[in-house]
Amino acid sequence: MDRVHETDVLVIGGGAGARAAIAADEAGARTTLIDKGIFGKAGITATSFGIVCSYLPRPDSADVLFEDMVRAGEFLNNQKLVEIFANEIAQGKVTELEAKYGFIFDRDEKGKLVRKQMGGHSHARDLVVTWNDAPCIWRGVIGDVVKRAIEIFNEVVITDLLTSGNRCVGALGLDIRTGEFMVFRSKATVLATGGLGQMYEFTDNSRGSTADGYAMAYRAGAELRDMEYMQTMLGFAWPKAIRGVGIGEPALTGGKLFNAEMDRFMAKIDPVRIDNVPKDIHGRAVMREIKEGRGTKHGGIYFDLTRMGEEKQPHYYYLYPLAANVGVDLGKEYAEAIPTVHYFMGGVYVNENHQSSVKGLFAAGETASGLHGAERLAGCSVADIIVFGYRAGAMAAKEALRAGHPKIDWEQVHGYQERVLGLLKKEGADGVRPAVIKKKIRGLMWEHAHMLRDEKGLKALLKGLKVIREKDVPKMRVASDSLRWNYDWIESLEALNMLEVAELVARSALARRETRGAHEREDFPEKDDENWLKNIIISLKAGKMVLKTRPPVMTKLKPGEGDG
Amino acid sequence: MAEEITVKVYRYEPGSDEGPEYKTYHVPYEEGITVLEALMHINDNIGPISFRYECRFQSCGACGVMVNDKPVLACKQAAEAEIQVDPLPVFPVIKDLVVDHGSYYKKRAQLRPYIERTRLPAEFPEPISYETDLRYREYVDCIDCFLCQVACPVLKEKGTRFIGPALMTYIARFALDPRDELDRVRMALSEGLMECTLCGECEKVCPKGRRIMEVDIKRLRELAKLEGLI
Repeated sequence: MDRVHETDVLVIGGGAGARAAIAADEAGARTTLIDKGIFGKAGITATSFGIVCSYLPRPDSADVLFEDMVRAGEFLNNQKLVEIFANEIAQGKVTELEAKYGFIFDRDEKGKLVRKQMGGHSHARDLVVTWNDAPCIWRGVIGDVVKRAIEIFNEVVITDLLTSGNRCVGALGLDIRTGEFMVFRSKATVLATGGLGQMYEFTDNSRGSTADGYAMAYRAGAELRDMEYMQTMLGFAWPKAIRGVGIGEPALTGGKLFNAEMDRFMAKIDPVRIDNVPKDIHGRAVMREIKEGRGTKHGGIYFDLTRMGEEKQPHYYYLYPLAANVGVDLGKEYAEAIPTVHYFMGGVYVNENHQSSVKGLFAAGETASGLHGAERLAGCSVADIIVFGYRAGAMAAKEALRAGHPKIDWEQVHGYQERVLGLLKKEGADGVRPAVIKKKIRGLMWEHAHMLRDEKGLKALLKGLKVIREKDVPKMRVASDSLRWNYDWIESLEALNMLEVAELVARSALARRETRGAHEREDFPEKDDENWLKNIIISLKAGKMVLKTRPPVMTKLKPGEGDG
Repeated sequence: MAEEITVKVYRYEPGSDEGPEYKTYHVPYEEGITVLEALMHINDNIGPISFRYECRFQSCGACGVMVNDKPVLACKQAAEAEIQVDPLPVFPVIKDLVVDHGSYYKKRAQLRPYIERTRLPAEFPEPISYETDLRYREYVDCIDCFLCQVACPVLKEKGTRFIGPALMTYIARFALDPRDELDRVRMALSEGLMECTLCGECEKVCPKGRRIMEVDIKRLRELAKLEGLI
């Protein structure tokens, strides 16, 4: 028998989703939160840096933040979303949480707020929480979810969204602990499953960032936007146990970058600022050094952090014991670093009410798109989930409280269940484990869809994905057919989601024949406003992938205006 | 160092298997290899085992296991030549190394692990002193990894009221926050604060090096004394 669970607002994901659930609960909607792992531990929010764009005292203002974000996003942002966001930050929607949730932004000896000016920001507006590496802002949010006694299902993976016509009516879940299906029927659904870092060989994202939300939304017919936009930051290339773990910007750590020939290669790119440039600039330079054969033994560049230990900068000091623990003394030797996959700007298309193109389906956090455009500014993702996570939940509750009871299409449910159960086939002689398929996708994505892209590479990627789809997927087998906590089974679902979304990234990146923001085409190195000042929208129509473009929403600022 | 690591892993699927058993695996040694890496190697290349992890960098607290009878984070613990990996005790086993922490979270929720205040400041951000901030920073490192709860000898005693070091940390964190309005000291006393024997086992296993006994337990007792409750 199917376990059916009724709710008003179904929230999928525990980061932005936690804020959405709080808002929905506050609005009086019956709210249910689903987490693929344990709420508060799983997902990248639980381990995100405590740096938040949150405080805009004069001469800073919502207008200045708006302009910074639109310029960083190279005009691909939905400016209505940016306006709402900047206004809410200016109104103190983040700083009030300090008082309400009880975390504390760093104060200096005089009791004044410690403010950081991060790359691309015109003012020092990022507040920080000294936490070393513990999720302390999020602990406040978790506390509020506990206080409200919001219903949480831990370790349940959502396999598919359920639809009726063009309306989302809930989701099909699989209880990882028991292997049982759970049917969630909801009047509104907030998709907040995070990003896709795990699609790349090196990432600082946690285990669960396997593009599930993008894939599910796509299959449910929702439009996706800006799928060519991925952001990196410098992370460890080695040792293996910490590969991909983020180090941070040289601008903040005071570290210097060298190639294997001990040349400060950044001086060629920016003789004045040298290493103190935004993430995408040194990220690309690093990839070029590696590509041209000046990489280190373990495939990175050197990141000199030897002085960091003396200064004991609270935000970065934790890297020291982390590296020492696996045999690297950052006080004596240089870290080997690569631009690890950190964040995804693209995602589900949402309007100013955080609603997707499918009725009743909302998206928030990294799963949604439109706020950051072609590049995200530091501190704006935690701020995004705080402000827009909440707002998406409030909008979903509004929709839920006026919507009627949705009808479940049981034929659809059983079809999805069949697909999921079909993956529980045991290894044959030539069976391919899902972990192997994931590894292949990661390797291909790293090689062809990382920071340096061109037509040849992207076509090779598409070809590689096709081979996986045609040769490996039919032979995908789990090593155990147990129903209980069978992660091979869960990884089969994840591998298929990754494969689906990898193609969307490749197709979008291939279509954008220009260089803009975080998307660089080596074969089209210039920005092309005439042809490409538009968003790429990708969706599934009648079983076919449809790619189209749409001009971004511009309200207050247009390219060329107000420039020097 | 050996070229290969021998890993003995606790295997059990309640309901299907008659009882727990150990399986031995051999994993190639690599510089800096952790227990988590070893488990991932076994799972991906040899045969499936059930274990939890999320972040890989000692931040989420999801990968706690017993290694050679000591509670550790798998992502932090170096894999030695011969290791035996068991699930954390106390909690019921779901499968292999995966346990159900439900009892911990249930108790945590009862402690009202959130700031309780009715008086909010007139404007944000509110003035907070450096001293209050410094004190707060002493608490933010706890990642809810359950290791101290498992190591605490008092918790193993029958009939104890002591809720354990990690949960006591929650109470201390709010007791020492001037913004919180609840009577956390009385809460700590009724949750067995005085039953802690100050043996310090919790501090020995804390992956964050937190001084749970020195900072949390002793300060709560100082407060109780100041209020004339003990």
